[in-house]
Amino acid sequence: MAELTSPGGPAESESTDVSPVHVDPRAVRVRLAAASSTGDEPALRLSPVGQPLRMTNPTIGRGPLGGVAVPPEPVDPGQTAVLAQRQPVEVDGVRADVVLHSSGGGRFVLDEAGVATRVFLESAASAGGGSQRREVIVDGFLFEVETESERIASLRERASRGRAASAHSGPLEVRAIIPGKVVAVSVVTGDAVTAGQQLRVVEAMKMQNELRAPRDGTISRVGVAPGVKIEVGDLLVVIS
Amino acid sequence: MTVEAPPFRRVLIANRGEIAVRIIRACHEMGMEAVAVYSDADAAAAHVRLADASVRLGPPAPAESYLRIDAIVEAALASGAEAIHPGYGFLAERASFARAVESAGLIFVGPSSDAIEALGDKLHARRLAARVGVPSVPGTLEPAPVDRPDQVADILATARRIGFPLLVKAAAGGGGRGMRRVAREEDLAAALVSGSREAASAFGDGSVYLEREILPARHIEVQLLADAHGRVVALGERDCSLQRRHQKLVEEAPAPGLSDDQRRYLHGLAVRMGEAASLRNAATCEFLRDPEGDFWFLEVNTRLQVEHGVTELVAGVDIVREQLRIAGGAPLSAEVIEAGERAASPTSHAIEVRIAAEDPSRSFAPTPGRVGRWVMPAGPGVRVDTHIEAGDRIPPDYDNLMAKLMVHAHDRDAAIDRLRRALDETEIGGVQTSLPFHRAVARSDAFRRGELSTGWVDANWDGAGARRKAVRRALLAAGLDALDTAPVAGAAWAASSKAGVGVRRDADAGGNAWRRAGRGQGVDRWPS
Repeated sequence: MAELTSPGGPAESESTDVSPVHVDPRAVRVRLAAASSTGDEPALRLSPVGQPLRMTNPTIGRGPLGGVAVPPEPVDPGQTAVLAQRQPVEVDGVRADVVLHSSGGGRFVLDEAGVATRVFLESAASAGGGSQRREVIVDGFLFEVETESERIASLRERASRGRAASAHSGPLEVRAIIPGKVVAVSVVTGDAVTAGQQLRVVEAMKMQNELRAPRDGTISRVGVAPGVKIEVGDLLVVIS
Repeated sequence: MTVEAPPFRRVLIANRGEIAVRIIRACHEMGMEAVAVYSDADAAAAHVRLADASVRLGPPAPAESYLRIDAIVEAALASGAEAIHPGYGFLAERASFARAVESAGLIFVGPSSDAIEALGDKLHARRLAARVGVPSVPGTLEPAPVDRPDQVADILATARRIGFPLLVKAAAGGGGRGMRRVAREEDLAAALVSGSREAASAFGDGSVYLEREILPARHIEVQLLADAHGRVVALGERDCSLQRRHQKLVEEAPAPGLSDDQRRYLHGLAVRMGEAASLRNAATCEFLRDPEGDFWFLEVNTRLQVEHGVTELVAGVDIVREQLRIAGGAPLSAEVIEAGERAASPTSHAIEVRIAAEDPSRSFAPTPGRVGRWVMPAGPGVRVDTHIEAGDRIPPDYDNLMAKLMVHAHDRDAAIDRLRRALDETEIGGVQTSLPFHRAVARSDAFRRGELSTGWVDANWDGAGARRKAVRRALLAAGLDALDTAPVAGAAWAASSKAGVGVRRDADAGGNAWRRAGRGQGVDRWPS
């Protein structure tokens, strides 16, 4: 399998103090939507390099003029198959060797440091608040991806920074990640549990799936009883 | 050459999904009518659309629909079907179902109810193997006393003799249900109880037994066909070692790395089992192969297997057609007997991957929902057995298999190349599928070298790592595309962007706006 080379950018957290007034108005923030995210994938910040008004150089193919601005030429609107976005970009503040080629019909080839990957991008739809959401298929994986203006994203972050600090302590709600039927409940309110301990057995698609405690704690609430049908997102237990 | 008359006028298919579609196709090719049955979740399903007539069974829950013996037999009688094909899963291996079909005066397309009882019960089968000198996996031959606390000491002593880790298995089991792996003595009692409970809920029989865990093992099975005149033929073997939670993910025929002599010996063991059980119609004899190369009998599946297609491709025999012929009383055809004679020296190779609605980066957890984009591969040597179309729902009530992608080529290397190519052409949106795993298999050096074992997935598949790489590329692609089309900056940039890449996307966005909005609400992502 193709190995990705990391551009080696600093592992900055989202709360990096970037003053909104200095954010490039063209920069975008891209992240997995909640439905696709497991919670630990960092968002990427992409911004074009250079002055906005000079960036008129989508060129045909990947010629030897890499990185050199080419005067704009008339482009045939039907000739999308070989168009490549050659605008140099920074990913998380670091210059990255990435190019996206369109093959038409939503199919693209992402070229990162010479490693090509086929990508399918569904048409984008508004996800509210100025962000766009779309389905992306890579290597058979399916993701809901949200894109928004970096300026809006960083403004929102500054506004919510105070609240984020306190979000890590407190009770942990364990919710269903698959729909099914609860066939066994292994803990009751007040039980002390250790990480990995079985909490529930949920039957879905003819399989019995064991649900285990994500961390140590005490069961402060039990949401469902055996025999109950559950949906994704239903509260199963609260660990405090 | 004379044209054979169809064995029946009308056949009822007591199943759903891809296998119901597969059997309906065989019926139509043989000039027979097919009657479908369906639950409320499947009223618009492919097998219903394709059949000549269809009968509603009941609500989505299998116990109220596809497992209702009375309703299915009644549907066959009411629709004028002469035979019932059970497919796989559901009632396919229930002796009581075969018996109900037989006593209603209908033909059951499969072994007799007596043979299903003798071979379908794994404990019966293990005792039968012992009788005819076929070596079975070391373990117990009688049910474990799950409800007898006073016999805990006995079962522990037996377990120690077999050795840990061992497996608790359901006598009536299949597909890993009711199975528990026990690594430590103190976990045995709990495993017996939970295995027995799962077996009772899945099969209505909570009998469990103990079996040594052979590791690393290859799972190799032999396809049998037998007629009413006592002739049993082995059509060849399949390697189904790539499994997770004892559910098969990839199957191939022939099993790589066997000599013709080893094949002949293995096929002989399977035929001996079939003859001992007076087998008729189709069945599969499963074996484990240990690292020393010895074969251990595991169980007999008295039905059509999910993975029968790879044997069809290599043997050149339509197994479903033969099943229907045999059920109509015909002897094994000349082609089947010739294929049996050639089976130890195969001249081509076939591989199947099971594309299922599950997330291979999250322990293959099921992902029911609505299918969006659905592009299946085609071209030389590619066969896709599926019941899915774009927009179809994958109900949470049933098995999550969406499609079987099979490739066929002159040898194994060419088949792997073809598999990789076919998987590259496959695009599925709307629900996460097992595709990432299959793509990794087709690119794996270990798989190409034929290093197969039932522990392969744990040893070779890093789902979280594969997902992490894909996430980064998905974000980069979406981000670059957003930069590319952002309606900001100077007029010149906007104009050239409009004239180029932006044009196609604008047109797309208009056409799909309502669909995207509908999906955004997510009502079908996790249906009730």
